[in-house]
Amino acid sequence: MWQGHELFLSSLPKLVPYIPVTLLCFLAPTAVSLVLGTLICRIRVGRKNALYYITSLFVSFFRGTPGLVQIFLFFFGLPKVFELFGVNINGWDAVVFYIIATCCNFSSFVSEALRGAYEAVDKGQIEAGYSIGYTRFQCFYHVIAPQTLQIALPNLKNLEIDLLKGVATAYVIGAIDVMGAAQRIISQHRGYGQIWILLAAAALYFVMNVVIEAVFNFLTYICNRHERVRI
Amino acid sequence: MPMVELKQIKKRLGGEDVLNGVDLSVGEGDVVVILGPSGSGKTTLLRTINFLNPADSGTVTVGGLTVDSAKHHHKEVLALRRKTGMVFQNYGLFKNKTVLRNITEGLTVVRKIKKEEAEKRAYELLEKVNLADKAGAYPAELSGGQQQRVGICRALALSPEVILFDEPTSALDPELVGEVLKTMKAVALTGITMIVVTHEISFAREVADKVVYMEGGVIVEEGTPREVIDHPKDERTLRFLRSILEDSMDYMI
Repeated sequence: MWQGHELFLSSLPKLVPYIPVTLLCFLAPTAVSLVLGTLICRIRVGRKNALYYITSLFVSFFRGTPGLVQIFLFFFGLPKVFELFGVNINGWDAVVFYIIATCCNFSSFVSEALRGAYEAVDKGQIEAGYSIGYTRFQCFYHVIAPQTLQIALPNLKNLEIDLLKGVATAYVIGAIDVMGAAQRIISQHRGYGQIWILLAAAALYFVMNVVIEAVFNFLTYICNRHERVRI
Repeated sequence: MPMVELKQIKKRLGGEDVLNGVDLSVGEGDVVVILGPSGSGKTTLLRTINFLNPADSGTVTVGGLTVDSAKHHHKEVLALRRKTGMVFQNYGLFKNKTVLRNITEGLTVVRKIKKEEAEKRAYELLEKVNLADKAGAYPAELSGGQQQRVGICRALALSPEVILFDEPTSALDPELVGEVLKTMKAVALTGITMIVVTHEISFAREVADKVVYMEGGVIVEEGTPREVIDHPKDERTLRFLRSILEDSMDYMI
Protein backbone atom coordinates (compact mmCIF):
# COMPACT_ATOMS: atom_id res chain seq x y z
CA MET A 1 0.00 0.00 0.00
CA TRP A 2 1.14 3.53 -0.73
CA GLN A 3 2.52 5.23 2.38
CA GLY A 4 1.88 9.00 2.31
CA HIS A 5 3.41 9.70 5.66
CA GLU A 6 6.70 8.28 4.40
CA LEU A 7 6.75 11.00 1.75
CA PHE A 8 5.97 13.51 4.51
CA LEU A 9 8.86 12.28 6.62
CA SER A 10 11.30 11.95 3.75
CA SER A 11 10.64 15.50 2.45
CA LEU A 12 11.11 17.12 5.87
CA PRO A 13 14.93 16.79 5.87
CA LYS A 14 14.99 18.08 2.29
CA LEU A 15 13.05 21.21 3.33
CA VAL A 16 14.88 21.98 6.57
CA PRO A 17 18.03 23.33 4.81
CA TYR A 18 15.85 26.08 3.31
CA ILE A 19 14.70 27.38 6.68
CA PRO A 20 17.59 29.90 6.78
CA VAL A 21 16.36 31.39 3.48
CA THR A 22 12.85 31.75 4.93
CA LEU A 23 14.28 33.29 8.05
CA LEU A 24 16.40 35.71 6.01
CA CYS A 25 13.29 36.76 4.05
CA PHE A 26 11.62 37.31 7.40
CA LEU A 27 14.34 38.89 9.52
CA ALA A 28 15.75 41.30 6.93
CA PRO A 29 12.41 43.07 6.29
CA THR A 30 11.71 43.00 10.04
CA ALA A 31 14.95 44.80 10.85
CA VAL A 32 14.67 47.30 8.00
CA SER A 33 11.00 47.99 8.68
CA LEU A 34 11.52 48.74 12.34
CA VAL A 35 13.86 51.56 11.33
CA LEU A 36 12.07 52.67 8.16
CA GLY A 37 8.63 52.26 9.74
CA THR A 38 9.66 54.41 12.70
CA LEU A 39 10.93 57.13 10.37
CA ILE A 40 7.76 57.05 8.27
CA CYS A 41 5.66 57.13 11.44
CA ARG A 42 7.68 60.09 12.73
CA ILE A 43 7.06 61.98 9.47
CA ARG A 44 3.38 61.10 9.39
CA VAL A 45 2.65 62.36 12.90
CA GLY A 46 4.50 65.60 12.23
CA ARG A 47 3.84 68.68 10.15
CA LYS A 48 2.17 68.33 6.78
CA ASN A 49 5.09 69.20 4.52
CA ALA A 50 6.19 67.70 1.19
CA LEU A 51 7.79 64.73 2.94
CA TYR A 52 4.51 64.01 4.69
CA TYR A 53 2.64 63.73 1.42
CA ILE A 54 5.35 61.64 -0.24
CA THR A 55 5.42 59.11 2.61
CA SER A 56 1.61 59.08 2.75
CA LEU A 57 1.55 58.16 -0.92
CA PHE A 58 4.18 55.48 -0.28
CA VAL A 59 2.22 53.97 2.61
CA SER A 60 -1.05 54.21 0.75
CA PHE A 61 0.39 52.43 -2.31
CA PHE A 62 2.04 49.59 -0.44
CA ARG A 63 -0.93 49.01 1.84
CA GLY A 64 -3.43 49.33 -0.97
CA THR A 65 -1.99 46.90 -3.52
CA PRO A 66 -1.48 43.13 -3.21
CA GLY A 67 1.92 42.02 -1.96
CA LEU A 68 2.08 39.51 -4.79
CA VAL A 69 1.73 42.26 -7.38
CA GLN A 70 4.43 44.28 -5.62
CA ILE A 71 6.84 41.34 -5.71
CA PHE A 72 6.34 40.97 -9.46
CA LEU A 73 6.64 44.72 -10.00
CA PHE A 74 9.99 44.81 -8.21
CA PHE A 75 11.23 41.64 -9.87
CA PHE A 76 10.50 42.81 -13.39
CA GLY A 77 10.58 46.58 -12.88
CA LEU A 78 13.70 47.15 -10.78
CA PRO A 79 16.16 45.75 -13.40
CA LYS A 80 14.57 48.09 -15.99
CA VAL A 81 15.04 51.08 -13.68
CA PHE A 82 18.66 50.14 -13.02
CA GLU A 83 19.19 49.62 -16.76
CA LEU A 84 18.50 53.32 -17.29
CA PHE A 85 21.61 54.02 -15.23
CA GLY A 86 23.58 51.38 -17.08
CA VAL A 87 23.60 48.90 -14.19
CA ASN A 88 22.73 45.31 -14.83
CA ILE A 89 21.12 43.63 -11.84
CA ASN A 90 19.64 40.66 -13.66
CA GLY A 91 22.17 38.47 -11.91
CA TRP A 92 20.76 39.25 -8.48
CA ASP A 93 19.11 36.43 -6.64
CA ALA A 94 15.33 36.46 -6.61
CA VAL A 95 15.54 36.51 -2.80
CA VAL A 96 17.02 40.02 -2.98
CA PHE A 97 14.08 41.30 -5.02
CA TYR A 98 11.66 39.66 -2.64
CA ILE A 99 13.37 41.30 0.36
CA ILE A 100 13.40 44.76 -1.22
CA ALA A 101 9.72 44.56 -2.16
CA THR A 102 8.77 43.24 1.26
CA CYS A 103 10.78 45.90 3.08
CA CYS A 104 8.71 48.58 1.35
CA ASN A 105 5.46 46.74 1.98
CA PHE A 106 6.17 45.83 5.57
CA SER A 107 7.53 49.27 6.53
CA SER A 108 4.18 50.73 5.52
CA PHE A 109 2.28 48.36 7.78
CA VAL A 110 4.71 48.79 10.67
CA SER A 111 4.56 52.57 10.36
CA GLU A 112 0.78 52.48 10.62
CA ALA A 113 0.87 50.15 13.63
CA LEU A 114 3.35 52.49 15.32
CA ARG A 115 1.35 55.57 14.37
CA GLY A 116 -1.78 54.18 15.97
CA ALA A 117 0.18 53.35 19.09
CA TYR A 118 1.84 56.78 19.20
CA GLU A 119 -1.56 58.46 19.10
CA ALA A 120 -2.54 56.36 22.10
CA VAL A 121 0.42 57.38 24.28
CA ASP A 122 -0.70 59.56 27.17
CA LYS A 123 0.24 63.11 26.12
CA GLY A 124 0.42 64.16 29.78
CA GLN A 125 3.52 62.01 30.22
CA ILE A 126 5.17 63.60 27.20
CA GLU A 127 4.53 67.02 28.74
CA ALA A 128 5.87 65.76 32.05
CA GLY A 129 9.02 64.71 30.22
CA TYR A 130 9.44 68.19 28.78
CA SER A 131 8.69 69.74 32.16
CA ILE A 132 11.68 68.02 33.74
CA GLY A 133 13.90 69.36 30.99
CA TYR A 134 14.08 66.55 28.43
CA THR A 135 15.22 67.45 24.95
CA ARG A 136 12.99 66.24 22.15
CA PHE A 137 15.24 63.24 21.60
CA GLN A 138 15.37 62.37 25.30
CA CYS A 139 11.60 62.58 25.48
CA PHE A 140 11.30 60.33 22.45
CA TYR A 141 13.82 57.83 23.75
CA HIS A 142 12.72 57.67 27.39
CA VAL A 143 8.98 58.34 27.25
CA ILE A 144 7.46 58.03 23.80
CA ALA A 145 9.34 55.08 22.27
CA PRO A 146 8.97 52.55 25.11
CA GLN A 147 5.26 53.20 25.49
CA THR A 148 4.57 53.30 21.77
CA LEU A 149 6.30 49.96 21.39
CA GLN A 150 4.33 48.47 24.25
CA ILE A 151 1.01 49.54 22.78
CA ALA A 152 2.03 48.43 19.28
CA LEU A 153 3.30 44.98 20.29
CA PRO A 154 0.09 42.95 19.82
CA ASN A 155 -0.35 44.56 16.41
CA LEU A 156 3.28 43.97 15.46
CA LYS A 157 2.96 40.34 16.48
CA ASN A 158 0.11 39.85 14.00
CA LEU A 159 2.08 41.60 11.29
CA GLU A 160 5.20 39.52 11.90
CA ILE A 161 3.23 36.29 11.71
CA ASP A 162 1.71 37.43 8.42
CA LEU A 163 5.17 38.39 7.20
CA LEU A 164 6.57 34.93 7.84
CA LYS A 165 3.68 33.22 6.09
CA GLY A 166 4.02 35.68 3.25
CA VAL A 167 7.51 34.37 2.51
CA ALA A 168 5.75 31.38 0.94
CA THR A 169 4.79 33.64 -2.00
CA ALA A 170 8.46 34.30 -2.80
CA TYR A 171 8.60 31.14 -4.92
CA VAL A 172 6.55 32.84 -7.67
CA ILE A 173 9.64 34.80 -8.73
CA GLY A 174 11.91 31.81 -8.25
CA ALA A 175 13.22 32.47 -4.76
CA ILE A 176 13.78 29.10 -3.12
CA ASP A 177 12.66 29.13 0.50
CA VAL A 178 10.83 26.28 2.25
CA MET A 179 7.79 26.67 -0.04
CA GLY A 180 9.97 26.95 -3.14
CA ALA A 181 11.81 23.80 -2.15
CA ALA A 182 8.52 22.00 -1.56
CA GLN A 183 7.34 22.99 -5.04
CA ARG A 184 10.59 21.65 -6.45
CA ILE A 185 10.15 18.28 -4.72
CA ILE A 186 6.56 18.14 -5.94
CA SER A 187 7.64 18.63 -9.56
CA GLN A 188 10.34 15.99 -9.11
CA HIS A 189 7.53 13.62 -8.14
CA ARG A 190 5.40 14.91 -11.03
CA GLY A 191 2.73 16.06 -8.61
CA TYR A 192 2.51 12.65 -6.98
CA GLY A 193 1.71 12.90 -3.22
CA GLN A 194 1.90 16.67 -3.25
CA ILE A 195 -0.41 17.02 -0.24
CA TRP A 196 2.13 15.25 1.98
CA ILE A 197 4.98 17.40 0.79
CA LEU A 198 2.93 20.58 1.30
CA LEU A 199 1.98 19.36 4.76
CA ALA A 200 5.67 19.01 5.57
CA ALA A 201 6.23 22.63 4.47
CA ALA A 202 3.20 23.74 6.50
CA ALA A 203 4.59 21.99 9.57
CA LEU A 204 7.88 23.88 9.27
CA TYR A 205 6.13 27.26 8.87
CA PHE A 206 3.97 26.42 11.85
CA VAL A 207 6.95 25.65 14.07
CA MET A 208 8.63 28.93 13.07
CA ASN A 209 5.44 30.83 13.85
CA VAL A 210 5.16 29.21 17.25
CA VAL A 211 8.64 30.50 18.03
CA ILE A 212 7.78 34.01 16.82
CA GLU A 213 4.65 34.00 18.91
CA ALA A 214 6.60 32.88 21.98
CA VAL A 215 9.14 35.67 21.45
CA PHE A 216 6.41 38.28 21.20
CA ASN A 217 4.55 36.92 24.19
CA PHE A 218 7.74 37.22 26.19
CA LEU A 219 8.29 40.81 25.01
CA THR A 220 4.71 41.69 25.89
CA TYR A 221 5.18 40.12 29.30
CA ILE A 222 8.23 42.30 29.95
CA CYS A 223 6.69 45.50 28.59
CA ASN A 224 3.48 45.08 30.59
CA ARG A 225 5.31 44.67 33.89
CA HIS A 226 3.97 47.95 35.23
CA GLU A 227 0.38 46.93 34.55
CA ARG A 228 0.50 43.75 36.58
CA VAL A 229 0.21 45.51 39.88
CA ARG A 230 -0.09 44.13 43.34
CA ILE A 231 -2.93 45.97 45.00
CA MET B 1 15.04 91.19 41.19
CA PRO B 2 11.96 88.98 40.81
CA MET B 3 12.43 85.26 40.29
CA VAL B 4 9.64 85.01 37.72
CA GLU B 5 8.43 87.89 35.65
CA LEU B 6 5.76 87.81 32.96
CA LYS B 7 5.25 90.80 30.72
CA GLN B 8 2.29 91.39 28.42
CA ILE B 9 1.51 87.67 27.96
CA LYS B 10 -1.09 87.29 25.24
CA LYS B 11 -2.55 84.15 23.79
CA ARG B 12 -5.39 83.24 21.48
CA LEU B 13 -6.83 79.74 21.38
CA GLY B 14 -9.49 78.66 18.94
CA GLY B 15 -10.27 82.23 17.89
CA GLU B 16 -10.71 83.44 21.44
CA ASP B 17 -8.43 85.61 23.53
CA VAL B 18 -7.47 83.45 26.47
CA LEU B 19 -4.81 85.74 27.88
CA ASN B 20 -5.08 89.50 27.32
CA GLY B 21 -1.72 90.91 28.30
CA VAL B 22 -0.94 89.49 31.71
CA ASP B 23 1.84 90.99 33.83
CA LEU B 24 2.98 89.09 36.86
CA SER B 25 5.99 89.37 39.07
CA VAL B 26 6.98 86.73 41.61
CA GLY B 27 9.74 87.39 44.12
CA GLU B 28 12.31 84.80 45.16
CA GLY B 29 10.90 82.39 47.73
CA ASP B 30 7.37 83.67 47.26
CA VAL B 31 4.34 81.43 47.11
CA VAL B 32 1.85 82.84 44.65
CA VAL B 33 -1.61 81.33 44.37
CA ILE B 34 -3.64 82.02 41.26
CA LEU B 35 -7.39 81.83 41.75
CA GLY B 36 -10.15 82.24 39.25
CA PRO B 37 -13.21 80.59 37.73
CA SER B 38 -12.69 77.86 35.15
CA GLY B 39 -11.94 79.28 31.75
CA SER B 40 -10.26 82.32 33.22
CA GLY B 41 -6.92 81.35 31.70
CA LYS B 42 -5.02 80.51 34.88
CA THR B 43 -3.83 77.07 33.77
CA THR B 44 -2.98 78.45 30.33
CA LEU B 45 -0.96 81.20 32.00
CA LEU B 46 0.95 78.64 34.07
CA ARG B 47 1.74 76.61 30.98
CA THR B 48 3.10 79.63 29.11
CA ILE B 49 5.75 79.96 31.81
CA ASN B 50 7.53 76.73 30.90
CA PHE B 51 6.40 76.89 27.27
CA LEU B 52 4.26 73.75 27.29
CA ASN B 53 1.78 76.06 25.56
CA PRO B 54 3.84 79.05 24.43
CA ALA B 55 2.08 82.41 24.48
CA ASP B 56 1.67 84.31 21.21
CA SER B 57 3.51 87.32 22.54
CA GLY B 58 5.06 88.66 25.70
CA THR B 59 8.22 87.78 27.59
CA VAL B 60 8.86 85.21 30.30
CA THR B 61 11.74 85.65 32.72
CA VAL B 62 12.75 82.89 35.10
CA GLY B 63 15.84 83.25 37.28
CA GLY B 64 17.38 85.91 35.07
CA LEU B 65 16.71 84.13 31.76
CA THR B 66 14.32 86.04 29.53
CA VAL B 67 12.59 84.35 26.61
CA ASP B 68 10.36 86.13 24.12
CA SER B 69 7.23 84.07 23.48
CA ALA B 70 6.86 85.40 19.94
CA LYS B 71 10.29 84.21 18.79
CA HIS B 72 11.70 81.55 21.04
CA HIS B 73 14.52 79.20 20.18
CA HIS B 74 14.16 75.61 21.40
CA LYS B 75 17.49 75.88 23.22
CA GLU B 76 16.23 78.85 25.22
CA VAL B 77 13.04 76.97 26.02
CA LEU B 78 15.06 73.98 27.19
CA ALA B 79 17.21 76.16 29.45
CA LEU B 80 14.08 77.78 30.84
CA ARG B 81 12.38 74.45 31.46
CA ARG B 82 15.44 73.29 33.34
CA LYS B 83 14.95 76.17 35.77
CA THR B 84 11.33 75.20 36.42
CA GLY B 85 9.55 72.15 37.74
CA MET B 86 5.91 71.31 37.26
CA VAL B 87 3.30 69.31 39.13
CA PHE B 88 0.35 68.24 37.01
CA GLN B 89 -3.34 67.86 37.67
CA ASN B 90 -3.21 64.25 36.46
CA TYR B 91 0.17 63.60 38.10
CA GLY B 92 1.89 62.91 34.76
CA LEU B 93 3.99 60.12 36.22
CA PHE B 94 5.77 57.83 33.76
CA LYS B 95 3.55 54.83 34.28
CA ASN B 96 6.04 52.31 32.88
CA LYS B 97 8.67 53.32 35.43
CA THR B 98 8.88 52.69 39.15
CA VAL B 99 8.44 55.48 41.67
CA LEU B 100 12.20 55.60 42.18
CA ARG B 101 12.92 55.78 38.44
CA ASN B 102 10.30 58.49 38.01
CA ILE B 103 12.29 60.67 40.38
CA THR B 104 15.80 59.71 39.28
CA GLU B 105 15.14 59.95 35.52
CA GLY B 106 15.44 63.71 35.45
CA LEU B 107 18.63 63.61 37.48
CA THR B 108 20.40 60.91 35.49
CA VAL B 109 19.17 61.87 32.02
CA VAL B 110 19.04 65.65 32.25
CA ARG B 111 21.60 66.45 34.94
CA LYS B 112 23.88 63.50 34.12
CA ILE B 113 24.21 62.66 37.81
CA LYS B 114 25.42 59.17 38.74
CA LYS B 115 22.69 56.63 39.40
CA GLU B 116 23.68 55.98 43.03
CA GLU B 117 23.66 59.69 43.89
CA ALA B 118 20.35 60.20 42.11
CA GLU B 119 18.82 57.31 44.04
CA LYS B 120 20.14 58.67 47.29
CA ARG B 121 18.51 62.01 46.55
CA ALA B 122 15.27 60.28 45.54
CA TYR B 123 15.17 58.26 48.78
CA GLU B 124 15.74 61.43 50.82
CA LEU B 125 12.75 63.04 49.15
CA LEU B 126 10.57 59.95 49.40
CA GLU B 127 11.45 59.74 53.08
CA LYS B 128 10.13 63.27 53.54
CA VAL B 129 6.77 62.46 51.97
CA ASN B 130 6.54 59.08 53.75
CA LEU B 131 6.74 57.03 50.58
CA ALA B 132 10.18 55.43 50.89
CA ASP B 133 8.56 51.99 51.11
CA LYS B 134 6.89 52.56 47.72
CA ALA B 135 10.13 53.22 45.85
CA GLY B 136 9.87 49.98 43.88
CA ALA B 137 6.16 50.30 43.10
CA TYR B 138 4.68 51.37 39.77
CA PRO B 139 2.38 54.41 39.68
CA ALA B 140 -0.68 52.22 39.06
CA GLU B 141 -0.13 50.65 42.49
CA LEU B 142 -0.44 53.99 44.29
CA SER B 143 -3.43 56.06 45.32
CA GLY B 144 -3.93 59.42 43.65
CA GLY B 145 -2.57 61.26 46.67
CA GLN B 146 0.54 59.10 46.74
CA GLN B 147 1.05 59.59 43.01
CA GLN B 148 0.79 63.32 43.38
CA ARG B 149 3.32 63.31 46.22
CA VAL B 150 5.68 61.39 43.94
CA GLY B 151 4.99 64.02 41.28
CA ILE B 152 6.03 66.71 43.75
CA CYS B 153 9.21 64.74 44.59
CA ARG B 154 10.04 64.44 40.91
CA ALA B 155 9.77 68.19 40.46
CA LEU B 156 11.76 68.87 43.65
CA ALA B 157 14.53 66.41 42.78
CA LEU B 158 15.86 68.70 40.08
CA SER B 159 16.05 71.61 42.58
CA PRO B 160 14.32 74.01 40.20
CA GLU B 161 14.22 77.71 40.88
CA VAL B 162 10.45 77.73 40.70
CA ILE B 163 7.82 75.00 40.86
CA LEU B 164 4.55 75.36 38.98
CA PHE B 165 1.54 73.54 40.42
CA ASP B 166 -1.32 73.03 37.97
CA GLU B 167 -4.43 72.27 40.04
CA PRO B 168 -2.55 69.58 41.96
CA THR B 169 -5.51 68.48 44.07
CA SER B 170 -8.47 68.75 41.73
CA ALA B 171 -8.20 65.18 40.38
CA LEU B 172 -8.02 63.71 43.88
CA ASP B 173 -10.67 62.08 46.03
CA PRO B 174 -11.65 64.53 48.77
CA GLU B 175 -10.04 62.49 51.54
CA LEU B 176 -6.69 62.52 49.71
CA VAL B 177 -6.52 66.29 49.19
CA GLY B 178 -5.18 66.91 52.68
CA GLU B 179 -2.02 64.84 52.33
CA VAL B 180 -1.04 66.61 49.11
CA LEU B 181 -1.73 70.07 50.54
CA LYS B 182 0.35 69.15 53.57
CA THR B 183 3.24 68.18 51.32
CA MET B 184 2.87 71.43 49.41
CA LYS B 185 2.99 73.40 52.66
CA ALA B 186 6.19 71.57 53.58
CA VAL B 187 7.62 72.47 50.17
CA ALA B 188 6.67 76.11 50.72
CA LEU B 189 8.53 76.10 54.04
CA THR B 190 11.77 75.12 52.28
CA GLY B 191 11.73 78.59 50.74
CA ILE B 192 11.39 77.55 47.12
CA THR B 193 9.44 79.83 44.78
CA MET B 194 6.02 78.39 43.97
CA ILE B 195 3.24 79.36 41.60
CA VAL B 196 0.07 77.45 42.38
CA VAL B 197 -3.15 77.28 40.42
CA THR B 198 -5.80 75.89 42.74
CA HIS B 199 -9.29 76.15 44.09
CA GLU B 200 -8.18 75.51 47.67
CA ILE B 201 -8.95 78.84 49.28
CA SER B 202 -7.76 77.66 52.68
CA PHE B 203 -4.38 76.75 51.24
CA ALA B 204 -4.13 80.19 49.65
CA ARG B 205 -5.04 81.87 52.93
CA GLU B 206 -2.53 79.88 54.98
CA VAL B 207 0.46 79.55 52.70
CA ALA B 208 0.37 82.21 49.99
CA ASP B 209 2.51 85.33 50.13
CA LYS B 210 0.50 86.69 47.27
CA VAL B 211 -2.89 85.83 45.83
CA VAL B 212 -3.77 86.63 42.24
CA TYR B 213 -7.35 86.65 41.03
CA MET B 214 -7.80 86.13 37.29
CA GLU B 215 -10.88 86.39 35.16
CA GLY B 216 -11.36 86.68 31.41
CA GLY B 217 -7.65 86.41 30.69
CA VAL B 218 -6.56 89.32 32.84
CA ILE B 219 -5.44 89.76 36.41
CA VAL B 220 -8.31 91.43 38.20
CA GLU B 221 -6.79 91.77 41.60
CA GLU B 222 -3.59 90.83 43.37
CA GLY B 223 -2.23 91.24 46.87
CA THR B 224 -1.80 89.45 50.16
CA PRO B 225 -4.34 86.75 51.04
CA ARG B 226 -5.83 89.18 53.57
CA GLU B 227 -6.35 91.82 50.90
CA VAL B 228 -7.68 89.61 48.14
CA ILE B 229 -9.55 86.86 49.99
CA ASP B 230 -10.79 88.67 53.08
CA HIS B 231 -11.23 92.17 51.71
CA PRO B 232 -11.63 91.95 47.95
CA LYS B 233 -12.01 95.30 46.27
CA ASP B 234 -13.29 94.14 42.92
CA GLU B 235 -16.88 93.05 42.43
CA ARG B 236 -15.81 90.04 40.32
CA THR B 237 -13.45 88.73 43.00
CA LEU B 238 -16.17 89.06 45.57
CA ARG B 239 -18.65 87.20 43.42
CA PHE B 240 -16.17 84.34 42.78
CA LEU B 241 -15.23 83.99 46.44
CA ARG B 242 -18.86 83.99 47.44
CA SER B 243 -19.65 81.25 44.94
CA ILE B 244 -17.05 78.88 46.32
CA LEU B 245 -17.03 79.81 49.99
CA GLU B 246 -20.74 79.91 50.64
CA ASP B 247 -22.62 76.74 50.00
CA SER B 248 -25.95 78.18 51.00
CA MET B 249 -28.63 77.18 48.56
CA ASP B 250 -30.02 80.02 46.58
CA TYR B 251 -32.31 77.78 44.60
CA MET B 252 -34.26 74.59 45.14
CA ILE B 253 -35.05 71.73 42.81
